[in-house]
Amino acid sequence: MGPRSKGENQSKCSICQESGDGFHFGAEACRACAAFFRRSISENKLYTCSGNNDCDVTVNIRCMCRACRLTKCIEVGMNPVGVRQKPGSFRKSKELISPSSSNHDEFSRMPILSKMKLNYENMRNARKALHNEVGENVFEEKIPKEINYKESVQQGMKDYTLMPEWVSSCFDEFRTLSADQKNILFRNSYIPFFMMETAFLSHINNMPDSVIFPSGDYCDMKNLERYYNSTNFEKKISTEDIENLFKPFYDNYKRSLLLPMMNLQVDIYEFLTLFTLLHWDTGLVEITDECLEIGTKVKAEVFKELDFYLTNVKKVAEPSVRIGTIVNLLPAVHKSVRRIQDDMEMTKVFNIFSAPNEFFDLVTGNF
Amino acid sequence: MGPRQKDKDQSKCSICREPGDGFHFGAEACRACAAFFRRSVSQSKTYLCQGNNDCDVTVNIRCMCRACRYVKCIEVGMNPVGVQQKPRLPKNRKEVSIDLLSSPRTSNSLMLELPLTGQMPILSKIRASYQTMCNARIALHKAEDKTVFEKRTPKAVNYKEAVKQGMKDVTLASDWVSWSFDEFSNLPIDQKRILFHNSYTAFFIMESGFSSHLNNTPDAITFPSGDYIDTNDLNSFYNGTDSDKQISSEDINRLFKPSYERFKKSVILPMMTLQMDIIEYLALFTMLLWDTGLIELSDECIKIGDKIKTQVLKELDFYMRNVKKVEEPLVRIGTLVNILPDVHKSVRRIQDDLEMTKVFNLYAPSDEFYDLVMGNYN
Repeated sequence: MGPRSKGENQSKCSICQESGDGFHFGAEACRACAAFFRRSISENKLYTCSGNNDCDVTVNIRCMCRACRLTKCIEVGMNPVGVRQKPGSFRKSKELISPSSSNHDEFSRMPILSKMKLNYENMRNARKALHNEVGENVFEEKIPKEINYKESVQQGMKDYTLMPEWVSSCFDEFRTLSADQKNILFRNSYIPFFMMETAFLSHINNMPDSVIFPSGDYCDMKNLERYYNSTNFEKKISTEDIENLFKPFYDNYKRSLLLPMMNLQVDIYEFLTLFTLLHWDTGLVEITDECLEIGTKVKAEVFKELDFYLTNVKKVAEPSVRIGTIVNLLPAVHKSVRRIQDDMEMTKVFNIFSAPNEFFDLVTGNF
Repeated sequence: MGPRQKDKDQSKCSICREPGDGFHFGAEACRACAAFFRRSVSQSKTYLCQGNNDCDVTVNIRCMCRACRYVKCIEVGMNPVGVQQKPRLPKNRKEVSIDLLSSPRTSNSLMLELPLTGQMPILSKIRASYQTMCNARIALHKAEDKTVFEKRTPKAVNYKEAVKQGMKDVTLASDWVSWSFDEFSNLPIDQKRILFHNSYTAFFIMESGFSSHLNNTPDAITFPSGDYIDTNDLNSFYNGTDSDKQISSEDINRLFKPSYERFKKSVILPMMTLQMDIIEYLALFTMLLWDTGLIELSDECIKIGDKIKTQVLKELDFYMRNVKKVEEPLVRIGTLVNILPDVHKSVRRIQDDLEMTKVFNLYAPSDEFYDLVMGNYN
């Protein structure tokens, strides 16, 4: 919506209660708070509260606490994904998430992949707020916990709301498509992306026996009984049935996707290339010729960028071999998706868990 | 089995009736006929009969007709896949390539002969044995009343015929795989079975897409025999059998047509757009076969598979840069490998369709065929 014209009735800024200036990043805010939020996110600022993380942030306080002000921004619904990252503002976390490369090269020679990487980082920041539990502070390091089936469904549905914005922020071409084409591409690629991302997260956290969800929480593959039975469903499922019905999926997922990612030490740029290939699935019958053309072009462009990256930044001895091996992970992603879909059908048939229809449609790719 | 020891009871050579020398290339034969067959196949000889393709080939005829002798070899069950291709032909002899895919386009650059075999040992070997398999298919799928030298006219087949042809081709394909990869033939039988059964349907699907691309017929799904499914007339495919149960055009369009449309859009057309050639196709086949993500594979088998795939990607890179002279080899390799997920999706749709024919009780495919398509190997 953006700033409101002066003649309109003004509501208050949801953060400091000053006169509002329209919707900014998903919440009613004044210019000052919008600018503060933009700066904080784009420059990856980290603030520490000197008090108890409950400071008053109304406008009449001269030097209001920045930590509490940012927390309030997040709480009222401001979305970091909407903020453009400043080139070069990145903190290097792990080599796989932030491989070393000069920012100039990164942006000029790898425009699509660089943009995706920045937006992915934004999304990770946004997830901290999104999956923040009541009473938790977004600035405190979240301790990952083991979750059950029901919780993972809830988290999946929550995370799904961030995804369309992320995809749109990654590809200008995607934004220009008609709603039905966006929907087809997005719904078709969401679950494969989810599967691939959980494997990637498990790989970068070096946890081959866990399925790590976007929230940071995880399912322990060595104790599936807890995952499937520690819910408040009346219907319990026997250990034997879990072994027979669900365990094969996890074994396959680990063997065909997670371990190969770890062996290859897939990094963020390679992961994002795979996402691009998943997203722009030009073999879908329902997509238009125009959409097909755009998708083919984007994929070719991303391959060129990856070629540059592997040759000049990562300095891989045999880039073609690496790209062939990495792209050959995609069949395993699709097989895992298909098994997830089969398992989903099974939970319906056995009436084990009643996932909402919305979730069922999402997993089975109905659009 | 190989040659039999002299003191054993000798049966007769199935070709010329001379005393046999044991099993050679899949049939009881004497040394002379075995050597003749080996020479004919390894040097890609083509013979012409001066008579009516029905000459007597018994041993007492001094200069027996080579064309008819070769046909007899094939008829009694000799398998060309068992013959190692000669690396180089004599200088004075031009190689004759008999391709299964007999359209005008098949002799073009997409089915090229391979130079630089030293730099591409695996792909060269697969290419040579693939050619041998194509030659063998001519005999395997020939009509009762035709000889192997008459050009086969491809025809639209129905469901039942397609199943029959698919089952016929399996043994040949498994021999081809063994001849293409020494490492495969050395694996324990259970590992071979897992790899082969898991990849056969995917290979069959991908090959039919590749054949359709080579023949420039995106609306036909071409089988190894050269026959095809006309995707614009699925009614004939599903109903042109002697089955009592018929299925309405409406049901065909609703249940089965989407699979064919998806296959065309996601596999055949990309192959055509990319102008995929035989070497690229065989590299993809290697990736399909050595699926090291299968849970049942041994660690040793995984190690072998990963090594072969890496080697083939290196050879493909060499081929792209030095033979095909592609401007951006990495982009092309990435794009080619990205066809594999669509091959797998097509396989899954085929499997779903097969389940559907079971549910609708349309056709009763044999358990053997069902297991083959489903990738069951127990």
